[in-house]
Amino acid sequence: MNAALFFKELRLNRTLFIVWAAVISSLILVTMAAMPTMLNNSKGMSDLMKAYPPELMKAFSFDAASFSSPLGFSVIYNMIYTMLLGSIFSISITARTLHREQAERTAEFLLVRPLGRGTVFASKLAAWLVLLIGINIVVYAAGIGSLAIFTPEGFSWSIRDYSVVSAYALLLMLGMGGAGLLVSVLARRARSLTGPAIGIVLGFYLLDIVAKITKDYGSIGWVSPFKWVDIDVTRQGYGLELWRALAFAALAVSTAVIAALVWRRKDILT
Amino acid sequence: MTEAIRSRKLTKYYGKHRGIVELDLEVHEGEIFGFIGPNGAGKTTTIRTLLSLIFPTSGSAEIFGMDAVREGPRARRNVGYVPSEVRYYPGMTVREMLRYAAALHGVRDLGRAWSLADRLDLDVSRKAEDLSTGNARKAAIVQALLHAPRLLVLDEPTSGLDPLVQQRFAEILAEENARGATVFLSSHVLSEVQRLCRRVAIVKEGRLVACEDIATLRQKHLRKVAVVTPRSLGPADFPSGAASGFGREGDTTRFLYAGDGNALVRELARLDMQDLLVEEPSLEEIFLHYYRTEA
Repeated sequence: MNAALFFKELRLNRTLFIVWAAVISSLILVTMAAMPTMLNNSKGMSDLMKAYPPELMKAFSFDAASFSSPLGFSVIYNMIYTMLLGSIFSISITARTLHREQAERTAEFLLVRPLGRGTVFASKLAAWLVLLIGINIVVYAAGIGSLAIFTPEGFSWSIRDYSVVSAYALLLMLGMGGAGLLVSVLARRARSLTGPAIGIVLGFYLLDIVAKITKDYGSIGWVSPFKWVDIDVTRQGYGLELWRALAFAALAVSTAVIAALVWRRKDILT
Repeated sequence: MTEAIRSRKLTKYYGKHRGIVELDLEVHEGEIFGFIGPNGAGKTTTIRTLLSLIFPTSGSAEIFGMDAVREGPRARRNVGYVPSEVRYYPGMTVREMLRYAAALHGVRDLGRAWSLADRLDLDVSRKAEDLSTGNARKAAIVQALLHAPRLLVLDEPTSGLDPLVQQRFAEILAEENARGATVFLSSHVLSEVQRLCRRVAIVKEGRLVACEDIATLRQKHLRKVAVVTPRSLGPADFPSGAASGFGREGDTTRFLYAGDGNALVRELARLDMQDLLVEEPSLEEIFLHYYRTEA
């Protein structure tokens, strides 16, 4: 890894990090402010939900139990969107990180230095990981803080369960980031990859929703990493399942390894 | 002797499109070497292959005896590169960009960079992305030289520079060469190549068509001939086929002769000639000759 390149990458993504961290944290704080009212009216919410088709409720992970617990509320109103926005943040960085050198013609500045392609890849990968872990720490703190502040008397929540669902969010963002690396090295000519990268995340998200709604095609949902996340925090024995963690790790590692191999021998055509 | 650059049958195809074909090139350490050819001839492909921005389809290239692909990072420690089109990272000042370039080379003392910037009248406090073409080129020259490389690879380095700065750049190149640096100069400005370089390679359609001392190229292979005759002369008057590029002004026919001096005299002796002038051609005339005759 090269320190100069690592810190330059951090600096280059500093504004993106600040904006996304501020947006996701603000969203968490604002929606959680409504939690006391919702929890105190959970009976009314349960009655209201009965009027909607069960498939629709399932698609958006709504159930009566979720509206009667702080963690359930937090997952439905925040965590799903945190995962979605965090994945977009993650893939936006990785999809651009290597491709930008070609698209913005800075490769003729960077790659003519005494650095191997592997060093360039490792430095950019390390910078992305730091940014990703950083934003997850900020978002986790905002989530824990808002739960502590807004949970009304008579309700309780488990910091362990919140940490588990946050770990799933981090794993999902890692997997999406890996997909972004692959997109970054497979893209050929100068073209912005932000749009396609966001499209990949939204595509997987919608696929998961469609799979939840349609019983006959439910199995196609497993193609989407969103399906691999367990957000049923109100379930007894909720925890981080090994197979899910391994699936995310396999996605992140395999895409990163393939991306590194392609990058090592890629012609940089500017 | 270790060559600064050596390529063996270096070939690069972009899919079905030809880049360079079996290019054998040797650039001696310490020389200023010119690399010329029109657009699309393969000059930039050669440079990018040497610097491992792209990878050869076949063949090999070495920089100071180190394989350009397998030992690329170690080889590039000795290389400074000025690209034909200069782009920098957004938001960086020239000072930051130079510090970054120095850090990537492991250079801590930037005295040389600031001194070069001063000589080229480069304002290092400005944002690199806002620089004019000429100033961006100056910044590119400074970042290529700040680590005192043993090999300078220059792709159209003076494009966009005013004549005064071109002169200063020529002085800097001469100083770099005097301290032992090899210069590989790819340029369209043939007068510049002729002025600065001792040897030159001409590349055409991806292949090397000539690689020699400029002096030898001018003396040995080609003569610029002006003959005063009552009638206009043409290819039919030179059965050897060595004469080309005929032009007539008044009673003078001008042409280029690609053959040895004895053959020229024998062919001229058959003509009704009133006056004769034989000169060395310029590099531009040699270049055009290669392109016309081998087209």
